[in-house]
Amino acid sequence: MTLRQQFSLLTSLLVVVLLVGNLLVTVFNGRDYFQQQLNARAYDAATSLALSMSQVDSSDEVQLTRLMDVLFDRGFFAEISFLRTDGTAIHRRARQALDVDSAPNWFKNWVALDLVAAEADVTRQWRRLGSVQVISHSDFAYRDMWAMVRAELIWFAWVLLVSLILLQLLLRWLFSPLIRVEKQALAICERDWQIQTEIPRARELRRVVLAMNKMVLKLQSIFSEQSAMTEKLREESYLDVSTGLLNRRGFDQRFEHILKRDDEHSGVLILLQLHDFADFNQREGRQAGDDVLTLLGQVLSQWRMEYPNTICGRRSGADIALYIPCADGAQADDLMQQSFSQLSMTTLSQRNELVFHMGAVFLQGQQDDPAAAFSRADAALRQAQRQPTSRSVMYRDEVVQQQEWTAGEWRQLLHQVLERGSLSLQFLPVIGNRDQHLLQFEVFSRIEWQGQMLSAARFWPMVEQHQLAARYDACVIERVLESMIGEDVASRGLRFCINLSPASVIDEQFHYQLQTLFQKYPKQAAHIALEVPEFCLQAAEHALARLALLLQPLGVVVGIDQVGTGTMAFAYLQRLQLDYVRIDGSFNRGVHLAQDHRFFIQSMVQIAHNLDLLVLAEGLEDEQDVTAIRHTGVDGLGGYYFSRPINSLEDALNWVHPAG
Amino acid sequence: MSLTHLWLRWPALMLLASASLFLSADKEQWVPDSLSQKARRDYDDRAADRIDAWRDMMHRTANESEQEKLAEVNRFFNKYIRFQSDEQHWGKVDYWASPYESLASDGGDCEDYVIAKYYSLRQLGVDTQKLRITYVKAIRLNQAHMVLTYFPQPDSIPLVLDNLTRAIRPADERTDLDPVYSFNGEGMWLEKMKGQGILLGNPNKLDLWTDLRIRMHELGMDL
Repeated sequence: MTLRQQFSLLTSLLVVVLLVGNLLVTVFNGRDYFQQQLNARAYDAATSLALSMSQVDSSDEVQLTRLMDVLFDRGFFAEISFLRTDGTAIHRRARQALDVDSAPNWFKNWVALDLVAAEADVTRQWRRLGSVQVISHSDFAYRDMWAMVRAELIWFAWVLLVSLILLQLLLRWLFSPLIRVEKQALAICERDWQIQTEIPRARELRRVVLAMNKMVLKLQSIFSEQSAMTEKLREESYLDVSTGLLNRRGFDQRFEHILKRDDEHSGVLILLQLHDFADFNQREGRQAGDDVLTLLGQVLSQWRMEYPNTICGRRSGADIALYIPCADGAQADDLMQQSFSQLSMTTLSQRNELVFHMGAVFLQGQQDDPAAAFSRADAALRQAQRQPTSRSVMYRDEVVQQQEWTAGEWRQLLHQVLERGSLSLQFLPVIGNRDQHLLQFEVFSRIEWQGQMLSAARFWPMVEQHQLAARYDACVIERVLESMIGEDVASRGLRFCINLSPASVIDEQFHYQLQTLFQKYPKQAAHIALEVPEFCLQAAEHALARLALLLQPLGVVVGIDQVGTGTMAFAYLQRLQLDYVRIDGSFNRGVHLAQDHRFFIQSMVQIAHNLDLLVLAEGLEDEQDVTAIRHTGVDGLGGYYFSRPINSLEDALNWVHPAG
Repeated sequence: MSLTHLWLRWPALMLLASASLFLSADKEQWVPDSLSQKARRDYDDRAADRIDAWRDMMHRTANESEQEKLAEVNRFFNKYIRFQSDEQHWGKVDYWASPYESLASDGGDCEDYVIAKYYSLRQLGVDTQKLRITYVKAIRLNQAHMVLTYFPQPDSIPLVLDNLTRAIRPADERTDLDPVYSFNGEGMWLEKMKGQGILLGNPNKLDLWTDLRIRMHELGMDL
């Protein structure tokens, strides 16, 4: 029972007790009063009747009866009798004084007025002729008492009603701080650190509210401290201070992961070297050299705004490496030319007397060796460096010759795919760390074209180039929703996680398109999760927050993918309404050997768990890594170690983790 | 009227009932000893003597016949109470005094004789159904008067106990008196009203008779 109900009950009880007591007093006092009055009246009537009857001839029956009738017809008496000394009698009796029933029978029986016969002697001179007995009628008394009782009941009903209403108002006023505390506590669970500004006057409540506020501040500071520490660790381990780009370790880790993983990869690796940078340093001073590197970092960061999937790192002194996803060799050429011209027009223009060379290699395939890729790019770089002026060279591989399409052919291809919806879905299981049960599926998509299956690594750069990302994302989501119809996902609480591209997230129109789409499939929508890569948050955080808010009522949740690859402070975890974070696969690769990776993941787990977020690890392929990851306390794991992407939803739903 | 009265009523009534039962059984309580002391305190030794004489008379006649009781009680009070009008004696137009007051203060009018005789006969065991307090008119004196009448049978001519005449005589011989109205000092109804009237102190019911009964109850004499 709630406190409110208890108070209400108590009040009702109090009113009822008062009512009963009051009724008893009223009824009993009323009974006494009426009894006395009725008996006194009977006595007076008997006396006067007896006096009158003493004056007439005792044998004149008619006269005597008429005298009694006079009194009786007044209607106030129940019975008038004249008892003669010889035993004969004259009676006048009335059943009911009122036409209507004066009061319910139970009431009469309960009150039970005790009316006695008043007696007075009728005499003739000294001789007694007999006695007159008069009994008052009780109906009037019952009627009046019953009216009193009813009036009192009505009055108390009003009192009860008004006091209950007042009580509710009072309690609402009293409890409002508690409700705010409750909201505050719930907000903490939602990672929203609210401070109550309205401090209640009641001392007990004031203490609670102040304690809550204090706790909120404390939690906030714990979160901030931990985030700051982890951010610092990430910066020190993977970032280059002067350029703001990744350091060699950071770049290699990410690059290796892309190349080595079982998924297909398609992109261009560009190595950039400043010519005679040591000379430049000597000539212009170390400070000037550092300034050049800083500027170079800024230009490349701008480049990343345009191509957010680009990985940029400073591998050593004046060596910069870039990896840009692209669809085919032609696009790789384009991207190399673009980056070259952008650099030579800005920081590294001729005016600065800085010469630089670029060597690039187009990489496509699965499970490639990063060292081989570097050596080929290096070969191209050496070739470029044969000229003293800035130049870029693409490594030409005679052996592998992939089928290539022109930009026009790509556009046609993509439009046709989107119109026909001829893309196929793949489902990668993610299992719970504790119970080994299916937690969610990561959904991937591939394009079928002229009998070939193209993975996202190959076509996605083209989708972005032709600005079809939003359309493509919507198409995938619709396909997923359609395929879920008729499948039992509700009882297993599965989530289907679909990647959204940054371009889609910042497209407001796309938001409403999604809303309509999900409204069409309300049952399925409640099992969809949308995820965006962490690195795109810098540009898309506000848009993502709006999207999450828009889709929240439909049961769609939002997660962050590739956590650890961005450079943002983790405070976004608290600002956004998120459901889970997925740590980037590059942290999981070889984690059993890398203590700092483990430490990073553990910190992420703590931060995320403080905020009530799930932490998932992706891209697991090695058993030792899986064991190490399990010990970090993540909530779920996924990767080729457990299963390859499954081509049909039916098979995916029947999939069972062998060890689970 | 308060709640306290309500709850107090029943036990109090029962106490009263048992007390009166006890009193009538014990002739020592007909005229309580304390009355003599009270008379001595309030008035003088002679007042106390008169009270003692009353007690003696009561004890003496306790075992006599009803006729003897009537005669003795009538004689005693006619002799011991000096006639005084209420106005002279009490300074009030009409005051019904208790036997104690009448004897101790050495004076009373016709009602006081009737009351004293009625009380004494009642205590001596005379059935009150046979006794009537009768309002009469003294024809020769042209005065309001009161006598106690005794009905040997319900329909017989009563005997009149009067303070104007020494002897008890049948009513039909008393041509000097014109009966107006008689009432029974007791009866079911008055018993009931006594309890309520006395304890509730309802001012409406304080007629002269009830007022008297309350005062007598306080003196330890139940009428």
